[in-house]
Formats: sequence, C-alpha cells, structure tokens
Amino acid sequence: MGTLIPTLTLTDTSTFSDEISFSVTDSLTTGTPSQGLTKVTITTADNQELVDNGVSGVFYFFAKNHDDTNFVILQTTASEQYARLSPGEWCFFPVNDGNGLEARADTASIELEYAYWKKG
Amino acid sequence: MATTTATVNITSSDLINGMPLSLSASSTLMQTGLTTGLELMEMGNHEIATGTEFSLAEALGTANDANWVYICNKATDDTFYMDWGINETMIGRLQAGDWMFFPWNMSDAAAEIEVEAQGGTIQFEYAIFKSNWTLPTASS
Repeated sequence: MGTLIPTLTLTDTSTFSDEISFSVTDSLTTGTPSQGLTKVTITTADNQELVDNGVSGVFYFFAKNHDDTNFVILQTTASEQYARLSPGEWCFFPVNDGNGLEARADTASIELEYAYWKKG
Repeated sequence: MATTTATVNITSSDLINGMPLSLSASSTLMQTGLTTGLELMEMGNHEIATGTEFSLAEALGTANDANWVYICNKATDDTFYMDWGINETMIGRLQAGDWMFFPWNMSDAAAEIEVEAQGGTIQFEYAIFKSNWTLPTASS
C-alpha cells in the first residue's frame, strides 16, 4: 500500500560527559486501514478508543499531546495503562494485534494529534 | 539540567496518491509535570534467544513518574521479531529493524518492561530515560 520512513533523532549535550547524538531510521511497509493525521479532544470522562482492537493487525501509532499543561494516558482496550504523554510530547510505537489503544485525559481535556498505519 | 531533545520525522511518498506525508515533531523530555530534564539514563545492547523472555527494566522508583524508552530490533532477518509488554501484558511487536520511542508509565511495582524474541536470536539496543530510579537494597 505504501512505505513509511520513520526517523528518530535524540540529542543531548548537557547530561553526560559525552554528547548524545543519535539517529535511527526504518522503512515500514503499510497496508489498510490507516488513519491519517487527526486531531481530537480527549476528555477525562471516559476511555476513548483510537485503535480498534477488533481490527486485526499490527499498527504503527504516532501521537502528540498538544496541551500546554495536562498529560494523557494511553492504554490497551483492556484498560492496561502503559504510557503517559506529557504536554507537548510525542510518541511512536507498534500496537500489537488485538490490543487496540485507548486514550484518557487525566486532569482536563486535551487535544491529541494522532495517526496510525497498519503493518503491510 | 538535562536537556534531551527527541525528534521524529515520518515521511512517505506513496501512502496516498498525490498526498506525500512529511510529519515532524520535536519535544524536550520532561520530568513529571513541566520541569525539563530527565537526568537518569541507561542504555545498552542485549542478545536474547528465541522464545526467551527478558526483563528490560524493573519498575523501580516513584509510581507515575515520567520515563522514556527507546528499543530497536537489530535483526536483519525479516522473520525475527520482538514482542514487548508491560506488567505481563503484551503491548506491541517490533519487526526486524523496527524501533519505538514511548513514554513508559511506571504505574506500579509490577509495571516492568519485558521483551521476548521470536523466530531466532535477536540483538537489540535500548535506552531508558528516567525521572527516578531507586536501586533495590542489597541482601547482605
């Protein structure tokens, strides 16, 4: 269906005696379905499903928290919390087949940008 | 103060006809709240045999602190993949060459990160940026 090229770069000149300057890239073959860049409001009221656990496949998931002050929890659709995205932060990782992904704001509603692509 | 900047670029020229993708996001790793700087870090390489579960990081420290995890499956054989999970729940699967970067929510003492190789022996590299890391007390 398409090829996705994700590149991660980490830099840090102040923490260690040696500078961190690191980059890794990959080439991912994707299939369908995919969800293009989308911005939604995530509330504290309930768990909001972003990746449907009923759709088979591994999904490459990207998200960015656009809020200035509040974090958002990411979890499986079985409510196993595993990630906490702070204000302004982003993440990129593969969601396993059948796990799904839900988001829930903790303190107040936030705007979350996200996208996912099914592994081809 | 630690100032670690993480940047992702995701591009595609053929995802949707006539609509190339060029996504970029950058952020400075923060402690819990809005304080910049995760001062604690560990990194390394490991090799695990197929079918072997490996505890990559114990949930040591304060619950719900900010932590970031990078893992890359360095296998070159397309049939070698790594399952990863937290608290005995499988979360995702890294195929050969794939990487991930995510904010680990160490919600309780059982929320350790585990990886398991499938298909063959896999080398992987990792880095973990932490807010707090308390070593266990020595037994003697």
